[in-house]
Amino acid sequence: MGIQINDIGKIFETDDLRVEALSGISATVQDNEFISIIGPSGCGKSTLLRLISGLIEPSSGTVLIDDVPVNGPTGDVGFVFQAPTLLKWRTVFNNVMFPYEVLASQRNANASKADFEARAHQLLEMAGLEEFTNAYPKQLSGGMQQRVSICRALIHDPHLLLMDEPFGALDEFTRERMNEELLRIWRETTKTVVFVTHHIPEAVFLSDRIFVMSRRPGTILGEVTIDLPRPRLSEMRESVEFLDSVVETRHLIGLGSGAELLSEDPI
Amino acid sequence: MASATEQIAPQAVGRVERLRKVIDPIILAVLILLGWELMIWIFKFHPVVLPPPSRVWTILSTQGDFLVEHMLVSLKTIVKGFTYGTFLGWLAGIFITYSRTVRKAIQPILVVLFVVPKSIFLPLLILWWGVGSDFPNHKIVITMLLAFFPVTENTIAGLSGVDREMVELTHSLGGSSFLTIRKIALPFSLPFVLAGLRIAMTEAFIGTLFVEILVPNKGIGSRIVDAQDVSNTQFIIAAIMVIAVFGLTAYFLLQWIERRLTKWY
Repeated sequence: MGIQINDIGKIFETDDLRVEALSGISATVQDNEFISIIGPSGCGKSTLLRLISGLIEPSSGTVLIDDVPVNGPTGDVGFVFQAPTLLKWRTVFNNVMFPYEVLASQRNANASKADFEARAHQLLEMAGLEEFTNAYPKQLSGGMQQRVSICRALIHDPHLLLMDEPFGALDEFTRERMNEELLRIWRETTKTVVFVTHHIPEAVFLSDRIFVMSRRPGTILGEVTIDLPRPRLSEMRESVEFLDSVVETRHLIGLGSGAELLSEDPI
Repeated sequence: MASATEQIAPQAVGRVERLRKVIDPIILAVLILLGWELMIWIFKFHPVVLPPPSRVWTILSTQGDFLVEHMLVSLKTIVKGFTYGTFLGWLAGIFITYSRTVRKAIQPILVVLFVVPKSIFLPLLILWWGVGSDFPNHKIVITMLLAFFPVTENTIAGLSGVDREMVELTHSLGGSSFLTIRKIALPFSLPFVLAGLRIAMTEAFIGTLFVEILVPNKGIGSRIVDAQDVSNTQFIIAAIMVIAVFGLTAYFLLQWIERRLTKWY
């Protein structure tokens, strides 16, 4: 699923406040590409994701998905939020099945419950959660909860996966493991992924390309193409090519080597 | 964040704790009864001022049926007022949360109703329907008014607490707002609503018994007034005990339901 973003701007207006969140954003994402968006807090990364998903409309410009203008949510999107956002009154299995219920409620529904259930079991197994199928979210650790929410985002096999700092709340070790798991899942299912983060090594490890955004109003400062071969392996994190890409991204953001130690306002 | 391994609680400690939870209050109650009896023996209170526990027990054992019978009459009003009041309160909470128009129209009226003492409506209600009317009935209306607000407040608090992401989850899949309310907001608010019900139940007891005492007719509150007229203090105390037992039972019943329905919480 290809995405084309044409000169998008977004202004949030309330009675006493006017915030220009995004300005003049243009970008193209290829089918099955893994894209990361990186930038300082409050630069409109999340807003951009919501524009792509059709949850909100741009103030100017257009978003095209497979050459069709986005006009509200399509349902062919999997969304992973920073918090696991699980429905805590449902078991793990019923959380993963939630998209089925939403899709089945719509007029053009042709989803088969049995197919979804089989897929839910398969995804939970892939995420190493099969023994927690009937557990409630409160019984799981943070990392496990986030894995459930990724399973939920994948259950309807969407062509587009939008991830809004999904591993931001995890510790470094869990984060690295989740990165590898995410790439494995992505390889097995082939989807277009747009991944928001402010963790540079994570973006380098996961992505084909990284879009670097500026402070508000968010614009795209530039992009970094990651030439590391796939499948990406854990040991590549220590390779020269990996570190080169990290440095390139850092410079694009405006962090010189060692400069962040002096900076008053790090990312 | 709770992990799967933190679930195991030591069994033996739990049993002793649970036993003490039952035994400690019983010990205290026995001590209070002994102190009460002793106080009368020392200070020589007149039985009209404070009868000894033994006399109260006599009332409970000889007129217990009578007391429970009238308590059940009161309970019927309490349950009716509670059911109508909390259901309307829940609906009001939903509409206030989701409809700007309803919120704007209904909020000022509700604030007035909330702020004024509910008892001031009593003379008006009795003027309309009399004291004997079964339905509409002044007791039920006052009870409803008292049971209404805790549920409204808690429903609004619960529905407003839904995360934006949860709403976006259904919307990003093309789900309607109605579906979001049904599948996300209502279950999310359930623990709040149930807590509101528990408060509403105690309010409903207050409402019904208050009116029965103020305007005696039927129910155990009215029988307390009868006893007051003939200075039958032991009967009044016995009645209070019966009401307390029913009140406690209702409270714990709701708490039990709450725990069963929100095991996940």
